[in-house]
Amino acid sequence: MDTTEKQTGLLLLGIGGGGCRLVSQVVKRTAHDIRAICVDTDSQTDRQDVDEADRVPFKLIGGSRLSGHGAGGDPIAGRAAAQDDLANLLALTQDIRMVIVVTCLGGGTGSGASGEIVKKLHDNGFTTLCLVTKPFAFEGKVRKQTADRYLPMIEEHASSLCVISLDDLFQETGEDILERALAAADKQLCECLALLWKLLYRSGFIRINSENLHNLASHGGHICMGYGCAAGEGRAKGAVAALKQNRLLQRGETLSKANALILGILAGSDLRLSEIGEIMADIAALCPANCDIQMGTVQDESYSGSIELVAMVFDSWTVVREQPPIATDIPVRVNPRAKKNASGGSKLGFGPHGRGRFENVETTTFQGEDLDVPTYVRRGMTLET
Amino acid sequence: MAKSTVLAGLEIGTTRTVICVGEVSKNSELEILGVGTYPTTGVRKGKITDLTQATVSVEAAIKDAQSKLNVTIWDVTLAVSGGPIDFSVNPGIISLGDKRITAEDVAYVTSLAKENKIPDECELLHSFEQQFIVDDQPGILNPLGMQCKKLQLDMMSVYGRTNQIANLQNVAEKAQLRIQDMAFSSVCASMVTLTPEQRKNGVVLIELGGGSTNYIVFNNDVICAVGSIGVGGDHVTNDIALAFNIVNAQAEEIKRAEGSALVDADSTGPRIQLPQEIGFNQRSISRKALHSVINARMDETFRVIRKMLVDSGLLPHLGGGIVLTGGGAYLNKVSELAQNVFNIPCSVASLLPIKGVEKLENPASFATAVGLVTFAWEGLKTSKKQGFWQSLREVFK
Repeated sequence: MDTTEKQTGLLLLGIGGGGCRLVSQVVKRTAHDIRAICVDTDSQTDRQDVDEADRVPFKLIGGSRLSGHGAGGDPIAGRAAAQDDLANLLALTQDIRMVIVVTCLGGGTGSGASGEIVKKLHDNGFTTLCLVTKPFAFEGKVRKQTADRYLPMIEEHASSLCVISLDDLFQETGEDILERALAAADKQLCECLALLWKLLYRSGFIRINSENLHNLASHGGHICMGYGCAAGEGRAKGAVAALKQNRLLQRGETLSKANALILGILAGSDLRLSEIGEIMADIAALCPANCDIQMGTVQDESYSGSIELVAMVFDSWTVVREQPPIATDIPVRVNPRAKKNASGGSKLGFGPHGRGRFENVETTTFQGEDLDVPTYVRRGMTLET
Repeated sequence: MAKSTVLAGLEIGTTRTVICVGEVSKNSELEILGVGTYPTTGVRKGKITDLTQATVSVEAAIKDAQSKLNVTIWDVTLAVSGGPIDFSVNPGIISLGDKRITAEDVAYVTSLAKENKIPDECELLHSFEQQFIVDDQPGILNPLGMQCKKLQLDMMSVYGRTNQIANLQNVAEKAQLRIQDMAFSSVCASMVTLTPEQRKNGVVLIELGGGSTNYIVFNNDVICAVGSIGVGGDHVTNDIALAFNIVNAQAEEIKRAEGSALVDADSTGPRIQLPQEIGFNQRSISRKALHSVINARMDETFRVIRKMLVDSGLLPHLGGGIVLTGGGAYLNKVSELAQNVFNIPCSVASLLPIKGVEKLENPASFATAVGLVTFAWEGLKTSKKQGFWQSLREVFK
């Protein structure tokens, strides 16, 4: 692993057939500079329909249980398969602080395994940014019910969550020919993730601080990702207009309620400072006055003549604006759910006076004592070290 | 019955969901076929916190049972546990002049005793006859034919919170199950673990669950008290996690592998090595410290129950001792600790000789689930509802 990854500790994790396919596309767009792993119960996924050179490291889960044949659309089998290999998966996360999990709900592995894996990552102190897709309406009631049933399990433990309806995404492409629609949808999704990585690691006029992303993701909430692009005269305003009209951002409604926004501007070397100013002014006008907007640029000659915008909107939870300095490289174990509190501030104490996992659960009291606080604390016991 | 009947009991525990399946043969013999289990999510302290997750656990347990036992499960008896479960005793009193007590008199006083007002937002689970009092003479079990001026029946009503019970029902229904009946988990566990002698001599059954600790007290073959505390094995795990700054999963493993409810000579053994974690050097913890944390929590839990027994005047009447069930009963030296706290004999439950229970591993942890099937079987034997309660009383004879 190169020095860049080591410093920031970002991992892209695809789960299930759909998730693995998307991750492969992202890796291809970032020229393999991003650390990524694909996880599935189907050993066929390892082929990933790509060239050998483009293949992403693959981890088969539930091999002893399912023999590499896949979960067969059964999320319970997917869940059990993940439980079989959680320890092995964790071993792949050396030097990692944040995991971006990509999965497509509706099937067996994507639905069943994702919740278990995200929970394991959460329990081990990782920040998880989850991007999940929900199946098309035409895929049927069963897949929809499976997706609806298992999404809350991911939501419970994910630091941040982005849910994308495939119906919305494909309508956004405006394409009817299947192949073109698939390519356009992949471009939107994968370009968003790839651009995010480029904003963090590639050279550009302004880079996004990885610590800021980590902080935003760990504070939790629902994320919406949107995409807009334009070329030629007035491309700056055109790109913003396209972004505003993006169905995934509910045609600008999400922007109007954003607490925080990461905006990536992808353009060639012909990007002008005035265009950046135009873009930022238009975006600021769409967002609330107190929205924390962080912008980064990536310059890539293949995008000369056009501007692409990717927005990651955090629209649910309160964002802490002042970052405490981080003195060391040791990953800080922050429980993101501690921040998920409408009144602001963490209620979870990691010290002995906290209630641990019984935070946010009805208290058990006996004769005025809170029994959820550890007994050894209330008895004032000193433990042998 | 013309053909065998399949009965199932569903226990949605905080740690584990269990579905126990039994079959009643043509000659009316109950056999336990086996259990299906699955780790539970979406439940804390015995209460549903996430309907969807809990439903997933139930569905998986059903699938496990169906595939292992080659049965189809539609109808279940559902266990209710987790706080608060409480009880009240209501007397039904009638004046008879001075005559012999008839069956109609008994039926009438029973109906009066059942008119027990329970708190708002609570739902009745059980009604148990405790004793008849004939002209201020207590302890009468069958007053029929006795000369009497005043007849009184004390009826215990056991109840739980309506919304919590409704949530359990919702989970079962979302998992495509029909609920035939519901029962307090300790009532069921007592049916398959306690002997008539124990119930007569006085015994308390303590169910050490993951999310709650439930208990039921018998004396003179009568249920004297029931209760539930929202403290369980999860609290022990949480205490360990916070004391040593480790994740819950690791705390649970250490509790099971190295834990002890007592701090004694065995606590001076070698330090316990923790698996290396990302960003942290390998650590070890003192065995004595671990046992101290566990001992503090378990000791307190037992003392809470002890206080309830002392306040109700029941503790001196427990000649049958203490019986422990649930997963927590397998914590190392927990029965010794209970013995120290209550100062009466304590043992881990073993299931009564019901056909098929010998197949179960750690049988005390399945006492509630097996008890649910037995409860369902007893219910089936009786056709009329008013007779059912009498029949339930018959069970404890």
